Amino acid sequence: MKKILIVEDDEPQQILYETELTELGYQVIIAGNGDEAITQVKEHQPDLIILDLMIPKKHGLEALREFLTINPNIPVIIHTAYSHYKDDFMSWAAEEYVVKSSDLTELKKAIQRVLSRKVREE
Amino acid sequence: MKDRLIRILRQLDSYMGRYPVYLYLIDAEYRLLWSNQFLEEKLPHFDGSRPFCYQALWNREHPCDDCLLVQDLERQKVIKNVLQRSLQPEQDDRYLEFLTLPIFEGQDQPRGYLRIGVDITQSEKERLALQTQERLFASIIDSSADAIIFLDNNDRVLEWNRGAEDLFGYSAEEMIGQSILKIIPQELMEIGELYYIRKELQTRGYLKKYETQRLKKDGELIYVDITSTRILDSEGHPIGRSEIIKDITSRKELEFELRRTVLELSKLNELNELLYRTYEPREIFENILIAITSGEGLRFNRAIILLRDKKTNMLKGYLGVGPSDEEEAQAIWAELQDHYRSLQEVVSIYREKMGQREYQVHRIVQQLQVPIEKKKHLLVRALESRQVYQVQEGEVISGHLYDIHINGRSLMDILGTDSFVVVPLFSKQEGLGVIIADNCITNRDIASEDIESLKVFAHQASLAIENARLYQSLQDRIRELQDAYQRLEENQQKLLRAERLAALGEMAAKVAHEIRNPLVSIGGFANLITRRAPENTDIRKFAVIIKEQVLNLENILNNILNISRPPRSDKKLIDVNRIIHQVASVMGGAIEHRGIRLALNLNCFSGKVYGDEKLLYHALLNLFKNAIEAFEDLDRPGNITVQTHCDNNNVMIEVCDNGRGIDPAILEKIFQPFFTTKSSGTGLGLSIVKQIVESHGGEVVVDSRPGEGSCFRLVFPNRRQAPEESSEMGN
Repeated sequence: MKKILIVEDDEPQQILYETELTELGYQVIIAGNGDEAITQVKEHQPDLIILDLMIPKKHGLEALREFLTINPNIPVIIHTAYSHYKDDFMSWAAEEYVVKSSDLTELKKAIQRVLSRKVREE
Repeated sequence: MKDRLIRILRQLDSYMGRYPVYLYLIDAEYRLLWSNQFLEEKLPHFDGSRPFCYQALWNREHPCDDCLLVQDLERQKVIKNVLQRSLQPEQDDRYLEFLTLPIFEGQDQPRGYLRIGVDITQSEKERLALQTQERLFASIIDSSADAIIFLDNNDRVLEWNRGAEDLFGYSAEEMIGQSILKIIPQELMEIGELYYIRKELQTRGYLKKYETQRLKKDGELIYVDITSTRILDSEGHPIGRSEIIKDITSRKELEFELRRTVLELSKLNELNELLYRTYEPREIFENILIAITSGEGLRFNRAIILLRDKKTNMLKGYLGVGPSDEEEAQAIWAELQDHYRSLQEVVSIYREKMGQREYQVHRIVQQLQVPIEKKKHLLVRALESRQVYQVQEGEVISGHLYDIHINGRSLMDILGTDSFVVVPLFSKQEGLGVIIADNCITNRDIASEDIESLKVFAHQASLAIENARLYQSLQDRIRELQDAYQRLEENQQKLLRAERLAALGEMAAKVAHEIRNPLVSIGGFANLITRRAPENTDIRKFAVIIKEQVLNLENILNNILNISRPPRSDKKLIDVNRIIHQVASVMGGAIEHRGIRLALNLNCFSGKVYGDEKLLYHALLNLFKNAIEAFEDLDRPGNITVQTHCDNNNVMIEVCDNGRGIDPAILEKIFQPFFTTKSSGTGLGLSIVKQIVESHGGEVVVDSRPGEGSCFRLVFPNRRQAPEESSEMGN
């Protein structure tokens, strides 16, 4: 079972993503802020990180830089309400960039795209 | 008898007492016979012991020179004799007048003389002084340069001095006794000048510096001033008058010249005022021409202005003023001649007339066009040399070499006159044009004063034109400034509006983002409910509505934030060194964390790769990740070296590590998708690198030895637009 770390500070969304992704058969870990996310990455070595950028304690892009330091090979999907971070070269280090929507189709597709390789490998 | 006479005399003397009369008696031989007491006392040298009168009275040895007795002894007449004698050594000479009475004693010849003398020193001195004065006066009068004449009551000449001879050419012989009317001009006689002079003399006794004219013998009329004084006799009756006559002709001429100059100047002054009345070039030119042609101005019949046209480089007729024939001339001049008008009035009358009908001069103006390259043309010559040229009876004065034809016709022919003047108009920097002026109607000669005035006026006119041009350009500048200021103000307003909008936009974006998060939850949960609620239930229906409405809202927000815009094509010329620096900064933490040293040798300075910056970034990021992985589980310190090189054809990037290297057995497979030797990762890294590099027209080569390290070399075509490249392409 693939481990997905969801970095998201909004509680209703935490529940929403956990519910949806668990339904799809992923193991979901939740981090409510940047520091917590780094701890979880080190502890769980997730297969994928879904990263909100506007999070407490540490900006998402800063967290992304630390993820790369911990393990440059863990893919990251940036999942944010903002679109303009696409222009920041730091965001280019992420595998995907998905703008938030109540319709989770886009997010789910991106998760599948990134993880499908490992799924096939296994 | 002698003794008897002496006795009587003695008696007479005693009766007379001290009466101041000198008495003495002499005989025919000058022997002193008797003298009275007064004489003996008064004459200082009297010596009664000496025999002759000249010895006894005057202490002389010979008869006196001034004694008339010697010569007149024979004559039968009264001898009145004045003797000048010094009576006292310290006294002035005295004049003694002696009356001599002959004593006949019954004989034919006098036997003696009785002399009776009185002191007439006072009256004699006065007489002598008067005599000297008279001589002086006579000589003054005679030698005076002024004419001095004396006239009797009937205006006949009594005296006519040398000055009068010189002045009028008549000699004294010719004039004395003649009437003065000879030198008075007829017209002055007719207006009664002589009567006026007499009346003045009668009432005032004199006439001072009266300026008039007189005729010379040769008929020439001269200006004179006359100072006349009445001469009265001892009883106060007028016996005539004197006249001192001065020739003031040259002074008068100077005066007339001065008056003319003053008039000229005041005229020019008025003309100048006219010139500076407006800044409108056309009006200035009109005023110039009217000033030249009006009677109150320079009195030419006609004037035409030609201006230099910079666009066509031609000297072109611009405007002309003046009647074309006598009929037109009469029409205008009659109107102006009624009474004196100021130039301003004249200008308005002219302007009215000019507008009313088509004058011949306008047709002439249109024909006057000369290319400025024609340096030998008279008009161009005047423009460029800034000199005045006069054409007189078809001849160019002091410039007969110059061309005076336009399109085969001579200027004389075009203008319809063989005499005219060409005067330049010029500013400090350049020739502006020329004025042609003529007297085509009256054929009056163009005098040198006319030309001089025109020259002065043209200079003033040039200044006025220059002034107007400066004013015009100043106006233009002001307008430009005003425009610029207005634009600035508008831009400022726009900027303010834009700033407000930007602030508003920023806030809208912030609010929109804040709303987006709860919307995601609302919509997301509504979606969950639709999936989980039993079909055909109200709950499910309602959840669908919520879901749809949230999507609707999200679309609105997307529109506001412009999120849903299509990604633009990001292809451009990329500086690979810059991308490498960015990757290095992102990966710096990961590299350092593992104790790896990163060396960048970026030697490609002018090379450029054409493509998508983000894709290239991903490719390099993956190579970096791969290189870091090469040190996994190794204890020794590692190095990662990144190099760039470029030549005209290629840009080369090399990422090398001295990590564990790649087993030659799997070297072939590393670029295949999903191939990985690592515990984590997607296994897509190197296959993505290959894909991206190839999509940019490049290739990836790997060189690796197990235990020593690996080198990944990316080679891209150099898309720098270098000149060598195009020449090579030509080969």
